[in-house]
Amino acid sequence: MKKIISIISLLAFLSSSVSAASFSEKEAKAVLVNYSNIALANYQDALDAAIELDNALNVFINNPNASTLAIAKNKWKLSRAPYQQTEAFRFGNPEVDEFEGKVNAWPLDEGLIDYVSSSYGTESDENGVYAANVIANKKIKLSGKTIDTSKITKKLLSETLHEIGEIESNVATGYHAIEFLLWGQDNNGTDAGAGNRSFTDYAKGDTCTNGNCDRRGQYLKVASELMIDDLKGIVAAWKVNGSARNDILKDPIDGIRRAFVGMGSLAYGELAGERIKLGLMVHDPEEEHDCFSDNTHWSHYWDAQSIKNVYTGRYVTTDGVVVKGASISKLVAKVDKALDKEILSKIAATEKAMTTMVEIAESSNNSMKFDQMIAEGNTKGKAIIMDVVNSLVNEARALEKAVEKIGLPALGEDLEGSDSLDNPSAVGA
Amino acid sequence: MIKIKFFFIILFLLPSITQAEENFFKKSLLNLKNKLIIPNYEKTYLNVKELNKLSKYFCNSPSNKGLEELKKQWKKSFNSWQEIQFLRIGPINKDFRYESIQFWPDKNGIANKQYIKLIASKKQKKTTLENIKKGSVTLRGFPILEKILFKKNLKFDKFLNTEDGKYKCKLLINVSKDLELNFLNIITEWENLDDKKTILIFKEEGNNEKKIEKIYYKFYFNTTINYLQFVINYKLLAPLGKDGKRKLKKSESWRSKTSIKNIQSNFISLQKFFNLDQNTSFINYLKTINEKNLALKLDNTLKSLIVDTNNLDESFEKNINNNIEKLKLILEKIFLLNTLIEDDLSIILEIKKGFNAYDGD
Repeated sequence: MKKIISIISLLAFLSSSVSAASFSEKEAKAVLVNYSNIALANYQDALDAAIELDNALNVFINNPNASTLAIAKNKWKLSRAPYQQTEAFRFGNPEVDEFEGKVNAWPLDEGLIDYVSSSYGTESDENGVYAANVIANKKIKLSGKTIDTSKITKKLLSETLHEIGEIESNVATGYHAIEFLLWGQDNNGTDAGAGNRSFTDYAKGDTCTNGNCDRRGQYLKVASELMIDDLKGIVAAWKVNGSARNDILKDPIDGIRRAFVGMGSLAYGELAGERIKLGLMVHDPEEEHDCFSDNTHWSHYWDAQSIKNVYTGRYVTTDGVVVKGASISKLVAKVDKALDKEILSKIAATEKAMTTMVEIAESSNNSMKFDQMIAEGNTKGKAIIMDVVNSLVNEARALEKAVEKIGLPALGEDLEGSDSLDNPSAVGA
Repeated sequence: MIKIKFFFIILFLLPSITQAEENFFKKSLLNLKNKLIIPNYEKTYLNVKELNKLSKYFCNSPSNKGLEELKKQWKKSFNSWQEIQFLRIGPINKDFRYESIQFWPDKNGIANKQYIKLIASKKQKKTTLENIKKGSVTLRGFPILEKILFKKNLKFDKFLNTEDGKYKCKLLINVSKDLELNFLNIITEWENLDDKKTILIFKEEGNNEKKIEKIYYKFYFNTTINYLQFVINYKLLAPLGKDGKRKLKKSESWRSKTSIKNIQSNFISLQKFFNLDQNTSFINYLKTINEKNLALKLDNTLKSLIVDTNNLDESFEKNINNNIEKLKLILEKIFLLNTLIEDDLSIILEIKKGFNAYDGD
């Protein structure tokens, strides 16, 4: 036994000390160029949709009524499809992770931004600005310091308010801040119904409801413009010679590993765990991703699509243009056709489970949105969600096998906070 | 024909383990159940049972002494939980039991928000045992008890005839009862598993490997590496923050100031995990396959971590202010341990780390 282990160890050592990847740098580069092209096209779509949203918001703010509000909400929902499809570029690309926190941070302590219902509570020992209501207050206090919020500007939102006090739920910018400003809180709990903010929260003069309509409009406008700025930045990063593209191409073999990290982390840790299963554990609509608009089922659907896009090396733009090329799927199939087929079938299974969830949520007859599915005692809803969770877990496990098969190093290199792991002294001051 | 003969010759020469070796691996895994898992759950169950008893006494007649005893018993119960926290295997994974015992890390701050809303609502039906069981995991287990008992400047008279005090008393009694029953169910289910079913549990944790030695390797490897990642990322790096910006409220059990004590208990338990039984321990196994150096490094690193954490204050906050250099040294040792497992051990056992539930935001 000892001899056998020694031989195995020697072979493992020998195989690990020469390049173990089953593909060449040239092949890896081809895949990553396509990966970067998809990222570029995808983020461009997200930017274009955000610009359309911004236009609709401007129309609404200038002329608030039920119709202009409905159009703005619809544009918000439409903008989620391209953005959520970019999420597989997270976790393996530091620049994307840096940017993501500005545009898609979630959940939020919405009391930081605007008025909230009494059930929200008035204070928290974990967040000193839990109910600060910046829209209503021209100054707020945190840890004894007074912060001037009289002028609602991009700088105030991005540099002062966002994650103020190092608290991640102090989300002042991005999709969900805008979502909150359009829909308001969803006070239906796990019953049917989304947030129901009236357009009169933006009305002029005496018809303004809940006070400070002008500041509310200003906040909405500024948040939207800021999001466009951030999206422009990430689009530039994925262009030819852009920083994110250059970064992933600098070491193509490692770049493939990073692509796997993105897919696997999104499937297993983020989607299956944090965003979906968590809802079943806490039965709280605040724990659904698009909690104000009840659009969560679509966000999860498009997230899953994101993984498929990266694995198959194919993305369909909003205009129907297909961006495709060398793919990770082909790299895997070259070494193990059956495994590639297995992964594709697991991806298809996830798509099927997600489609079921979407169909039920969008049904015109007895629909059940995500926040209803996670309600206490909803066995049907739980079953739908667990199907999704299990399919994502199976997908991640299959991707794990592929990592090993194509000879990539262990995935542990990209632990969260890896800078600190490499340099422990960085955590001291 | 020659090809067939050749095939059988190769098959004959392929490595396979002996019956004695197979028995060793099975016995090791069964020992884990009987000598570590069940005893630690039993210890925790008894401590929580006492916590529930003290909650009733206190709520019947609130006093300063009663409150201090309750807090002490909470710490004792939580500490015994820390000794089994790392073994997320088998019955504890059913029906979100783990999360119902301790929902942490709470990356989204949902626990506090739900607690605030619950207390603000004063909904009586939410305090019954039946509804606690069915409700959110954040309103069950150790964390909510900690929030009630270790609120800043809490005095016992807050529980005397006030609406808020009565409400919190109901929660104290029924949440601790729910926790007690949770542990009892876990123990019962472990005890009811026969040897074959026990091995199946380990097999599921070991990525469904077919060979017993692979099950054993993967189980030890995955359990340790995933837990070290958990301790590094959530118990240490998250509250330490980046560039000197501390996030102390991200440390585990910051209200009761027991974060470092938790880590010490974790390493005491990990050391037992590797050294459970003289003949069937993992450390001993490494020595038998000529990996004595690695065995010694692993064991010694664990032992020194236990000593080092014992030399710190139990509270994370106090250590940030007074012992940051010692804390950094401990972090470095844990990184070293991580490397020993992830690099050295993975080569010997031929295992690679995969995705885990802590990936993602």
